[in-house]
Amino acid sequence: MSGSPPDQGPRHLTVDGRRIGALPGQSVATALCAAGVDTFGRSVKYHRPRGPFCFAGQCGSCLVRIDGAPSVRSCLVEAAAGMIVERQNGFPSVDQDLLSAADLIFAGGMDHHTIGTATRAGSYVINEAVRLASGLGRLPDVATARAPQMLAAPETVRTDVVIVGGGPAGLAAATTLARGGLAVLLIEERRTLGGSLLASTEGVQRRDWLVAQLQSTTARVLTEATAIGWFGEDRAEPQDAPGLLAVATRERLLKIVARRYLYATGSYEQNLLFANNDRPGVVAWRGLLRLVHEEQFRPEGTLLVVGEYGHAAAAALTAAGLAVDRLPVDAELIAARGRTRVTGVDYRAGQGAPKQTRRGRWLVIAARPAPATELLRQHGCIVGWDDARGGLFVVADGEGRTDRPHVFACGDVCGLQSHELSLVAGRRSAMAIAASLARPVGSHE
Amino acid sequence: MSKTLVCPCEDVSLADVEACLAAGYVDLEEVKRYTGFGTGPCQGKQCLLHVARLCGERTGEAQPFTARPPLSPVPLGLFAGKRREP
Repeated sequence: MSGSPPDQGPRHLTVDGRRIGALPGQSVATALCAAGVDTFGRSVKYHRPRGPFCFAGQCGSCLVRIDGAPSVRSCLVEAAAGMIVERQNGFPSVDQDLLSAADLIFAGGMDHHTIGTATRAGSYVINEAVRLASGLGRLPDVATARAPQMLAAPETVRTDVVIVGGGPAGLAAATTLARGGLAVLLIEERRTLGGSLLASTEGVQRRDWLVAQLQSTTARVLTEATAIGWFGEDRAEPQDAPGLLAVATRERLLKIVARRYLYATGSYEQNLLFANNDRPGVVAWRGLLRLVHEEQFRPEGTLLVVGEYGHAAAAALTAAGLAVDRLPVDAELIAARGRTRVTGVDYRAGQGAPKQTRRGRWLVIAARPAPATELLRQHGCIVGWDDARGGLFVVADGEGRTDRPHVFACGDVCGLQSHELSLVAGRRSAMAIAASLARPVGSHE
Repeated sequence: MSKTLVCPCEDVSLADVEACLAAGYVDLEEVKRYTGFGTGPCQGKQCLLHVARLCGERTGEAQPFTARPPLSPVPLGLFAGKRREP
């Protein structure tokens, strides 16, 4: 490590002009939650109150305006001193939003194909009204927005192997490949490595060990780097896989050309379907746990825990000293209570059972995650469906080979699996990749 | 009002998807075009499986829609970064 030691003290930012503090390492979303901000913004059509759900950059619920740039995922941005945060999409304000009348007027939903289409004049009026009212956020302040001004020209990066995802599978694969003498680039969307390991204290310890292993190699790691698409049309050098992986960093667009592509993209948090499942305070279990373990976040009030993974979630949250109330395993959620944030939940303990209510400030959804298959689908890889493995998954053999040459996959993206299996899959994929590049990894691995 | 959101990004409710299916649009790509689900900031990360399951109940097969780049929101300037003079 070089440079001056990181600033350990609290920093201050403003939210709609109000000064709040943030601890080092906290995201803007975490800082806002800690400061008691419930509504981050209003939704696009019905102007319903919204707050963060996944805390992992995988949903669109925590968008705010930061330093003049609209619709920024606040869970991905580290809070910095002097940051100007504005909640967005409320008219006239996020707390008192007149456009939320749309939620009442269109109580049963909105079919925009048929609104006002009876007459030509009606159609015109509706169209103009919708044009005025729709959209998300305001255009960037060109003079002050940081993002557009700091971006440099796109750059091409060549490497032997690029690994997408810094969870257990990706970390294990990167270490194994780098020890085998290959040029490895590991990219991770979030600010810290570890992925789903960060949902438990044992996982955090395991992450620390894996990262220490990785740091003893020559592997290059890029955090805050998001793979935004595979572009197969651009033909690269004949010996390379034909195409490029587009990766967005905070500074520029990277066009990554690799001899092998390994996707360890993990899985996305998922919500359950029940009334008002979008209320601020409804949060994904792994995201919340990562905040507790990595961002010094202590949610106040009772945490209602529900879902298939409720046992693991409740155990980890209880171990962290938080007030947990776990709903029965067979609980069928009816509706979240609360107008601008969760105050409780109505549910039935099994089909046909009477309605019951529990009170709490957070509704922690511990549902089965969904494998993150997009990039592999863009490569044209075969996908399968198995509800028990998270729904849609990528088909790969035991050594991570997909049906596309040069393209490998390991971990949750191939169907949900334990961290232990992901580690093994990462190592085995790495060995298969090294063998395919005629550079076998030593048996000491 | 009480709504069950399937796609929170684009405010598509369960009732919207069910009305779409009842109208005869049962293919996932059709449902996407009719309701706009999966076209918001998350690009389907939160909603794809919910709707694929609902369509699968009608068609017998749960399928994904085409994943188009960019898969995550990025500033437009990313594609037009300033070229640095040597």
